[in-house]
Amino acid sequence: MNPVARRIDAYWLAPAPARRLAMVRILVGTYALVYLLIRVGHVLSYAHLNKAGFRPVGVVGLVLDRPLVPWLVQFLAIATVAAAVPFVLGWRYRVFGPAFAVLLLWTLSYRHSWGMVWHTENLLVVQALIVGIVPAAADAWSLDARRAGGDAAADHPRYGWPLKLMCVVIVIAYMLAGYAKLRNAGTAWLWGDELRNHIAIDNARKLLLGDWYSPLAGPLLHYNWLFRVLALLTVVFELGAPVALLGRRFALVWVLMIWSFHAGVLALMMIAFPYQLSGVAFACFFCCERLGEWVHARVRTRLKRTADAEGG
Amino acid sequence: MSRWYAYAVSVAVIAAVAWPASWNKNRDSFPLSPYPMFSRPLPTPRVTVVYALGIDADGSRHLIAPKYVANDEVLLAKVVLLREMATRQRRARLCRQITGRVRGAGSLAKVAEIRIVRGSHDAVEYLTGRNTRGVEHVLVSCRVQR
Repeated sequence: MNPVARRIDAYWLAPAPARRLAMVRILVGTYALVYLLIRVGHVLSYAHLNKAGFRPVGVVGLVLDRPLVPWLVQFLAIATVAAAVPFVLGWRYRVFGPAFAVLLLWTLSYRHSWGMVWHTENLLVVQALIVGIVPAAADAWSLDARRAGGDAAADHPRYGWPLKLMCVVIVIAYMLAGYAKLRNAGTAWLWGDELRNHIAIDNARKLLLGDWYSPLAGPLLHYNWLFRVLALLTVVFELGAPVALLGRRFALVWVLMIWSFHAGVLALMMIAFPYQLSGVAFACFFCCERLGEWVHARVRTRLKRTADAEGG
Repeated sequence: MSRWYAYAVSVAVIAAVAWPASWNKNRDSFPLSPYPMFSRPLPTPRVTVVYALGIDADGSRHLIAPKYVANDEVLLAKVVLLREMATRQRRARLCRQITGRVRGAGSLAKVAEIRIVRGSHDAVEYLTGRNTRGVEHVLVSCRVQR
């Protein structure tokens, strides 16, 4: 093997613990399950929208040119929620891993097929697809692993590369967002006026359409310099995303910056990116298995105490 | 799982998520996207929106929430309001649908009329309270039967 290929292998196929990938599976699956449960009424409501508004996107556009019958929309939405449970538990994962990922892709693509594409669920779907098609994601903390005699003990490349891939997907997404601003609006975007106008228009439109808007936007619109700083930081954070791939400390700094950016978007525009704000989107950058081990240890200690108390 | 599977999946996924960089700037999709939000050039804060207003008997105005227009998604309500203004019949039908939903809403109990208007506003002036009326053109109106 030549040295370049060896270096690529050393980076991309670096061994990682089975529990790290398993923890990401649990976090992504649990997030999706809770998110779908909270929004189940909303997702089901798409079954009864006016056919005239159907504008299929993504996989829905590949398959349909008119809406599905309402009962099938609702059945698929409920099947997505149901499939999230074995995904989280790692039960029959070779079937339910891909099944859940594909159902989630379908259900959320169908939601976006009514003339408006949101950008708050893209990373969830792509990350769920990556975890879903990797059977190794159920080699630990899963019912499948328990049936096979316990968690996989040794670190292995098969647990590392899916996490690297999830990190790269995030980095590309933010770089695309930064690139789009400069491509579509040019360097004028960096001067802040465009951002100020976007924030003002978005809030005014929400207010006029009877929705929640940011009470901070009105008072802050007086300060032009603030939007110049925010515009510059936004593009730096987005185009600077590749630094997150240089190591865990770089990743921590970048994730904190981009999390603050999303918190700012929420405060100024009332636009929530819950997947990013929850931190689940960024779990793949870190030793997130420690969270699972901490929870596991706490539960075991509590159970032991309870057993001791009952024993005498 | 083989090394080649890892690379094949990785290259395919990376190529797919990077592909939107080559798209026309008006194109978007899901879950692949060029993430064009807030990148459209906006040299002025002028905004023109089609929205629904509830008018009380004494003339006071209420902005109508998205759930009375479509569902609880504001962006979907925006799309529905725009789309349904295409013909007089569709305007009237949407207006009637909104009155039907408003009729059962306690918070809008005094609303006697629904108006769907196209309003043009300076968003900065509007949000800072300097000019909250802008220029409004009524597209359709209908009475709320109680």
